[in-house]
Amino acid sequence: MAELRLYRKHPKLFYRFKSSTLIEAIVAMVIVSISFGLGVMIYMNIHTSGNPLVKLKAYIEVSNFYHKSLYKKNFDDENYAFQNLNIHRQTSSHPDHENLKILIIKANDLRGKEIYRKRVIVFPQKYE
Amino acid sequence: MLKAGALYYTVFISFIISLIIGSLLLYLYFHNQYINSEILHERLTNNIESGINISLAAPEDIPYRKKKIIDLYGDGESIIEIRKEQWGALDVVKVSSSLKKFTKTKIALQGEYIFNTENQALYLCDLKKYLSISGDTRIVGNCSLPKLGIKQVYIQEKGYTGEHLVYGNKSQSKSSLPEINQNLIAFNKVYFEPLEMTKDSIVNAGVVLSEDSIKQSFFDKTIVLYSDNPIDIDYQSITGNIIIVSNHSITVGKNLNSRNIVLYAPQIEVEAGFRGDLQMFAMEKITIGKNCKLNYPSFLGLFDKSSVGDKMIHISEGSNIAGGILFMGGNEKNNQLTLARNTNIYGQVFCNGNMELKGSIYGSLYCKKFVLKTKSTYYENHLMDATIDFTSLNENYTGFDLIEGTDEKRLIRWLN
Repeated sequence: MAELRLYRKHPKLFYRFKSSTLIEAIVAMVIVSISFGLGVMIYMNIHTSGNPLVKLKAYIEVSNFYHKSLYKKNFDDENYAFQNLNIHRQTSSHPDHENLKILIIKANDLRGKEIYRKRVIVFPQKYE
Repeated sequence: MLKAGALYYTVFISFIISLIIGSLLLYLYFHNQYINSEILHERLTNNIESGINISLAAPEDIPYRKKKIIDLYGDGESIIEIRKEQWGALDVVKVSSSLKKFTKTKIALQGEYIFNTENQALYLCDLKKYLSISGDTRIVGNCSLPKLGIKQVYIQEKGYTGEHLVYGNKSQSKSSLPEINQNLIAFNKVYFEPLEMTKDSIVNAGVVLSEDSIKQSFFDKTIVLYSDNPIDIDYQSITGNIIIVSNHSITVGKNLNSRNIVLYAPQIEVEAGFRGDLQMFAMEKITIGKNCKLNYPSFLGLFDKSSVGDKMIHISEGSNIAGGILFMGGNEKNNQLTLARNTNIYGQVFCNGNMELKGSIYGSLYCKKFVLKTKSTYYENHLMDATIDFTSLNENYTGFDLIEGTDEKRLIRWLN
């Protein structure tokens, strides 16, 4: 009764919603699903194709390995596995200067695809 | 009344979803960008490090005052620019590398690696005289001595206290010192000739030296502060790419804060108690007051063979110098390099004249002749209570390219 009285006094406070038809509801659900699905697909595509985290991991591990090589004065060829990466150190002589070496440290994924590569001309005697 | 309609809500929800997905994509994009730019910067750093290593291992390949472009691996992907300048008795090497829109530059102060070539505690010219030692004299390291050799003597009733005369290998020296690096002399002598005041980096010292602090980056042009009058520097901070030139004299007060600067004047005096690093070049006289501490890499150079006036470098009691001393003052009796008692030199000393050594040299000494003055007597080629010890020189010491023919550099410090 109180509600009825209130409705009579302030009819604008009470709204009525029209219900949707079944077709409307289905179309709406389809649109939402498609937009969500598309968005997730694009996101996942970008996420996997750029591989930023794997690249970052490779970059950090290669840098660490490089500094360890300098610290231990070890420039010999060496391979090791780190998580899903294969790290490979390779040294060659510099063509113009015999006391310099070209040091290359690569990080490949398990399929052999190169993720990151560091290339530096080192002067081994500097660390002796 | 709000009209119902699921499509409106659908569009709204789709918009919200696309906003969320868009934000995630943007986040991914910037994250990727950040990682890529980090990797790019790392490549630039690698290129610069490679360039610095080339300049250390093969300094003769990098000409002075000329820009050299090097393709590091011959594939056009890693190109660097190197420029080498002299800075007093040291080298400043600037290496730049560019990739896409990024450019990175590093500037390094470099010196000579002396352990390859020298390993020499004492080189004393063969003037057909014995080297006579007494008291607590110690010579540790390889020595090149006159043919007559070394002997112990009594001076002022003090005999030699050591077990061996030389704690190291001995070889015979020649009648002259090894050839000095002419490039070093030629470069630094320029500042004793009239400077062209029209050059924009030469500034009247009187105008600038009233400032409390003067600082110049090595990325910018060298500031040459010039005056025809005596220059006094004290209670100031002068650091960086600055050269001070006086036609008369320079006096360095004990409260000067200096780093990397170079001084040129006929006469230079460093007042007692000074602490800092300085490279200084004079034509007549350098005096280091008592209890000074000239930090590494300091350098004292005196070069003038003319017979006009006395030439001298005097290091007073209790002073320590980490760096080098070059005395090219000639043989006349009053031309002399003096290291007073309780002075310590950590580095290299090259003296083509008379040397009075009462202190300690932890490093190497190339010397024409020793002199020793007592109250009553003037001795030649005598040492009393002096130390020359190469083995105590820190293995990380990087020296000055004083002698021709040495060709390996080491990094002293980054200048940026």
